[in-house]
Formats: sequence, C-alpha cells, structure tokens
Amino acid sequence: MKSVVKMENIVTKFGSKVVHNGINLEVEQNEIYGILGESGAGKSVLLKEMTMLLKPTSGSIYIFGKNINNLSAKEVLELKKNWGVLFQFGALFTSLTVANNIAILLREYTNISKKMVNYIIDEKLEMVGLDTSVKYLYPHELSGGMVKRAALARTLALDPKLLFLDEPTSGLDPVGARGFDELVVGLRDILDLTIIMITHDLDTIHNIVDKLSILADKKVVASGTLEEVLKSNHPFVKKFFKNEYINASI
Amino acid sequence: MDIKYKIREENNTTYIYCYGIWRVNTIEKVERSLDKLTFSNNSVFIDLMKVTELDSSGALLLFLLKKKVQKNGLQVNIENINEKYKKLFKLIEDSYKEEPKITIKNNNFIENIGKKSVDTYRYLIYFLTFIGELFVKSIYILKKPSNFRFKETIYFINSAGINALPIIGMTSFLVGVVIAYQTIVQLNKFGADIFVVDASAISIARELGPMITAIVVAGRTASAYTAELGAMKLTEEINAMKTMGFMPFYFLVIPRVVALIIALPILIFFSDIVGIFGSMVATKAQIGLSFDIFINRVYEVLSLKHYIIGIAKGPFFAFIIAVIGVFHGLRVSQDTESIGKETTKSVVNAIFFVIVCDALFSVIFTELGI
Repeated sequence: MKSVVKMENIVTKFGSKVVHNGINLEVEQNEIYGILGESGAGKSVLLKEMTMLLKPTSGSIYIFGKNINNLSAKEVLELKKNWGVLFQFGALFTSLTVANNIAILLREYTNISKKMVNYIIDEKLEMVGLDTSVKYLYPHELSGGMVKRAALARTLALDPKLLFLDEPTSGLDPVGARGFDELVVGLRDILDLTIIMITHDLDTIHNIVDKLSILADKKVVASGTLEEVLKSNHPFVKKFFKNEYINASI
Repeated sequence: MDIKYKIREENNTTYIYCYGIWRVNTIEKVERSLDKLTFSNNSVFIDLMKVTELDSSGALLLFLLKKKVQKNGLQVNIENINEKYKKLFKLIEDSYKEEPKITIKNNNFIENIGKKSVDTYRYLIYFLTFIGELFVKSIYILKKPSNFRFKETIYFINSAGINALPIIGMTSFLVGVVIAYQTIVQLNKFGADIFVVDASAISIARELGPMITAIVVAGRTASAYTAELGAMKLTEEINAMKTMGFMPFYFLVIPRVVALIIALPILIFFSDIVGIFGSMVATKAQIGLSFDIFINRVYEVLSLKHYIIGIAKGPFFAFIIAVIGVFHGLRVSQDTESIGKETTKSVVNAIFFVIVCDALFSVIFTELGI
C-alpha cells in the first residue's frame, strides 16, 4: 500500500509551550485513519500542519510522497485541489448559498459548463444525503447536521483523493452520526478516498476507523488498529476506552 | 494520458471509445463536443476499457450522455466497466434527477421599490423601538443605580475618549492651522489681519471643534461599537448573556452610550484648545503676531457663550454616534458579510446625523439670538 500522509518527528512549539514532541504517523491509501487525544493534546494543530495552515517547528510531512515544505507554489495549488478539508463547524461561506459554496471550486478551477456544474451540485448534494432544494439556502438557514453535510458536499466538489475531517460527527444526533459514518465509508469505497479524521466518537472509531493514533503527553502513545491500540497500557488509552460496550463487542 | 474519445460506426451501431483520465479537471475538454454529438444509428456503445481514471464528475458526464441518447429512443450501453466504476455509476443513477431546475428570480423595478420601502419602514420602526427601550432601561437604572455597570463605562471612556486624544489633537491642530492661514490671506487685503483671531477662535470653539471631534469619533467609535457587538452576535455571545439573565442593554448598550456622552465633551474641549493653538502658530508664522497679543485678543472676542455652545453639542453628538453604532451592531445577522455592511452603515449614518443635528442647532441658536 502506498503511504498518502506521513509525518516524521513533528515538533511543535508555541513560544515555550511544547505541543508536539516527536510525532510520527503514517496513513496509507484507502484507509480511514482516526486521530484521538484529550482536549489540548494538539489534534487540531496536527491537522492544521497537514493541511499547511500551520508549520511545525521541526520535522517533515509528506503528502502523496512529497515533502510539503519543498513544494513550488504550483505544486502546492495542485496538492490543494487534490485534498478536501471539512472543518469542525463546516466553515461554509456565509455570504454564498449552498449551491454556490459547492460551485465556487468548480468555477475557480475548471471550465465546466454551467449546466454541468448544476448537475454536479445536485449529484454532490444527493451523495451526502441532502435534498437538492437546500441549494438555494444560505448556511445560516441550515441546521447543524445539514451544515456538516453541505460542507462535506463542498469538500467533495473537486473529487479529492484525500479528505481531512475535523470531528465530523460532533454535534450530530446519534442517528445522524451513524448515517454520516456510513456515508464516509460509502464514499471511501466508491471514490477511492483516503480519510484522516479527528474524532472522539467511540462508535465512529469502532465502526469505521481502520487505524488510529492516540495523542497524549505530546506524543503518539498508541497506534494501529483498534485491537492493537486497546493493548496499550497508557492511562489515557485505558481511561478513554473504559467503556463497557466497546469491550463487550470486541 | 489525456482525456479523449473516438467514434466508430459499424453495423448500425455507434461505438464511443473513451480514453485517459476522466476527472473533474479534465472533462471540460470533451464536455461540449460530447453534448453536440448526434446519433443516426440505433444503438450506442460507450466503451470504458481504456479509461485510466474516472471520478464522480467524469462518470456523471458519461451518465448524462447515456440519458440523453436514451431519451431519443436509442439503445445505450456502457461497456467494460470494472466493479468500482459500477458502484460509482450506481450511486449516480440513484441520485439522478431530471434536469436540475435553475430558478433565477429577477425582481422587477416596482417590486424593488416596494421591498426597499418596506425595509426602510421596518428599519425606522426598529430604530424607534431601540431608542424607546434605551430610555425605558435608562429610567430603570435611575431607579436602581446598582444596575449601572461602572467598570465597563470607565473602560469605554478610556477606549473611546482617552485613546482618541492623539488623532483628535492632530486633526484639530491642522484644521486650526488651515483656518488661520486661509483667513489671513483674505483679511490681509483689508489690512484687518488681527481679525484672524476672531474668525478662527469663534469658528473653532463654536462649530469646527465639535464637528471635527464628532466626525473623528464617529469614524473611530461607531465602527468599533458595531463591529464589537456584531461579532458578539455572530458568536451568539449575546444570546448566551440573555439566557443567563444578563440584560444586553445594561451590559453592552448603556455603558457604551454613557461613556461616549461623558467622553465627547471632554474631547471637544481638548480639540478647542489644540485648534486655537494651531491658529496661533499659523498666525505667528504668517504675520508674526506674538502669542501674547493673540491670547489677549482671544479673551476679548471669544465670549463664554460660543465656547459653551460648542461643548454643549457634545452630549447630543455622542448620543447619536453611540446609539447608531450600537443599534447597527445588534442588527448584524448570521452571516459575516453583514458585519461589514452594518459597520459601513453605522459610520455613514453617524456622520450624517451628526451634521444634521449640528445644522439644527445652528438654526435654533441663531433664531434664539445666541
């Protein structure tokens, strides 16, 4: 399997505060990879470093086999067209309708006809399980779950190969959250995606995540499949998975 | 390999062979020509054997082609698809609906006038409601002074008043210089140079000082109030306060309004001094009039009433600026763009109404003979 994202020895400091002290992780193609950790463990910072919003103090990050520090501006743009990032609260453009939120990428980066763009918008909305009538609505007219779905539709607009999801199921009701999980797996299978997600949702971890890494004490304290992680003796891992029904179902 | 397709006709059948990468960033090259294809044969085969990459947009394009041909009553088959692409086509087939509706609503001219009128009317009602509520809440505070947020008020006096001193000093000084400079040029023709003191001192104390201060403060503080409250509204801080039983009027509105009512007269006082000093410097530079003579002349001509009229406008201007700033801040809706819109409106309206108010005062005082 090809590695899609690889982080080597990532150290992050904000002033004198050390957030990461030597993080290593590797995500392979077609995986759904979970990143867990307590609040303040630096999960979001790690995701920002992968998506080039922040630079680590030291260490290297490889995406699709290329060191993202050594990319030319053109390569960076190409890379950005090939990934999609779903923010925790959607981050839809509030001044645009849902349709335009999705269409803006297609209009900026391709020369596809208007008619076809409209078909693609409908297709993406259907894919994420939204009714196509929402496309004329503005983000503030949507419910929390709909915002997440619409944001996912926008993320999928350019058919990226790599998806970053920041707590995709947080703020969704359990039924909606499981639906979202199914959706993610379905999209992965059909569109050949690699997915990296920050999540705290035990059901998500249990049902769809192939591999995961646990951040604590500024390091990755456990990683691998869920079974492998559960063998860890780290106090955070123990505390986090001290959950009857997860133990029962394995 | 790049995207392309080839057409071969044989035995009453059209074969479309697709090659290369059919992805969202490549389909633009074939989209229009595929759309123009016409078919004379009875059946069409779309062959995907040589397709190296296909994503949902590429598949959608082929699927739409298939639908279009089917509509003309022809047999269509998409051939040589692997399992993964089959799933993709299945997904697209499931989500397909007929021609997406594009409803673009064009408002006509009359409709726009109507909408605008209703909006303006509503805006006026909201504004009056807001002022009304402000008065009612102020009366409550008079009844129960412990509701008055003293600390916040001091904070806003500092940010809207004291922090504005440098910019107001600069502006007033320059305006003082310009007024004296221009007046001397005219008065010189009559040999009446000394009257430059009358002209600049009275105009600065009575009109220019208050106006300049109010306009600078409108630009600085009205915008700040709107942006602060607007951001609080966006992040639902104001809703959070309401649910905790904190009255936004006590916490956010009244301290800001009171702070500016206190700060603006002080700023005007400062602006008067610096403005007249500016005139003094310009007069000295231009005609060599000594500071002593200038100051003595100011004592003679600048009666207290001019000065008090100028300062007395302060609280009114302050009320206008603060209320407009806060009101627009609270009108920010759920989208980020509205912060910008409301901030613009608040500054423009604040400056406009300050000028209107000043004109009213001017007429009233003149009629009263003050």
